[in-house]
Amino acid sequence: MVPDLPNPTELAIPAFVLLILIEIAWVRSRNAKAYEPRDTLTSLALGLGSTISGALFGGLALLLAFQVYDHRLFDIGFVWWAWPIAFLFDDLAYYWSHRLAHRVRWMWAAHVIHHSSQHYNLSTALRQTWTGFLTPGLLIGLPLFWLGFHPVMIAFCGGLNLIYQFWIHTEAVKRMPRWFEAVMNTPSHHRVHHAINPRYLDSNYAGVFIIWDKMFGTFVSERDDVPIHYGIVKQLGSFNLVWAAFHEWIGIARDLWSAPGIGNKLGYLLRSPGWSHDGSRETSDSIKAEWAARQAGVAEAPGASAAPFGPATLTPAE
Amino acid sequence: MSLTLLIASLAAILALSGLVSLLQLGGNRIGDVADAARIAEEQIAGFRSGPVLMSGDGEAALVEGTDGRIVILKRHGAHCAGRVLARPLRAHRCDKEWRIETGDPRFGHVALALEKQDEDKLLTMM
Repeated sequence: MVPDLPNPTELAIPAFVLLILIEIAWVRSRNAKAYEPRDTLTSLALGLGSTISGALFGGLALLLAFQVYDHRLFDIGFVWWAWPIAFLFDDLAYYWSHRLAHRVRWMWAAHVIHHSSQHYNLSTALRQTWTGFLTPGLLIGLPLFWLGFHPVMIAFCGGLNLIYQFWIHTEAVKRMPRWFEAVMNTPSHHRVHHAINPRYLDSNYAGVFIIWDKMFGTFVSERDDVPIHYGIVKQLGSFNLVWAAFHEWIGIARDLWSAPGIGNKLGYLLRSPGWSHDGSRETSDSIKAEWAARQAGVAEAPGASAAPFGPATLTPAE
Repeated sequence: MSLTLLIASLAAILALSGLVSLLQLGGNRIGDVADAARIAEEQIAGFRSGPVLMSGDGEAALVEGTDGRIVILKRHGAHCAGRVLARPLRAHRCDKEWRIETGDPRFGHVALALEKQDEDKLLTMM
């Protein structure tokens, strides 16, 4: 018997709005210039677009999930002990899907929208993909259905996972208690994930549990002496919704058209963002390597990284 | 997703945006030459700033790197976005401002309101 479960994300919307209001009040009390109304409007509108996209195309994902579930190994059903296991496994699948979304340009094209803001606040959390259904990211979670976890259970767990990730998109929380930081994804860990500082690039892919990053070698902790700059390596410089949602897809289409040979064309699709067949562009790996080489040559002077853009950046709350 | 939820979400977005506008948040500017130099280094990995041409309105700046690269900065919300420009620079005078072409249609051109001495420096950069 399949329980009649609500959509947890939809139920959480009033709490999202309330927390955004509280955060705005917090920012206003510290530095009103640091909050950009147009950026917030862009994030919220992109979030609405993502919800519409999910409603239109989410059925395809569910259809695929049920196809795999029909060939399941075990009949797990909705027994109580399956819920925490499903949540944990779904979070593990999220980690790998998210990691690939940063390492494979095809998947990055759908995910970049979430990183396209130079601001980092709760509204940024709602800046979600419109085109995820065009990528193979969904395939990462299919083994869960094959094992026997019901698609409705996984969808519910996925909703809870998304809700958890909302509150970590803030500078209002500096650090959680040590035990919490050790196990859970937190605002501090996720700020690092959104950073464009070479030191922080391509790290902390976790959804709920930061343990995955620690297990798979992608964890980087936030340093108080290295202020974070948010966004993407090549900032959009635009609040245009459509451009934010599709710019990387357009870039891929251009590269597929102009690249010589099938191998190079596949490279523009399957290799990391920034890869180019003539080596003329920068990838996160090349940026990190150059940064590491510079660090090896010159010891970083204390205070060398001053606060970004004068008074417009907030220091995470004490 | 129900139509009610869609309408409620739209209403919430408009209400939040209206509130944020009423609170007069945002409006940051590039403070000075040192500010622009630092921002260029933050935005472009490995960039080391040299001479800076500051727009008088704090909306933009042109920064020449110690390696000869040139970065244009424009204010984008409460932050700045930058682009490395190809040489020779494509710039032309337009009324009281200089328009710097970035070669990126979506990023657009960037207007610099320069002092006379900075205009001369721009010409030598080009």
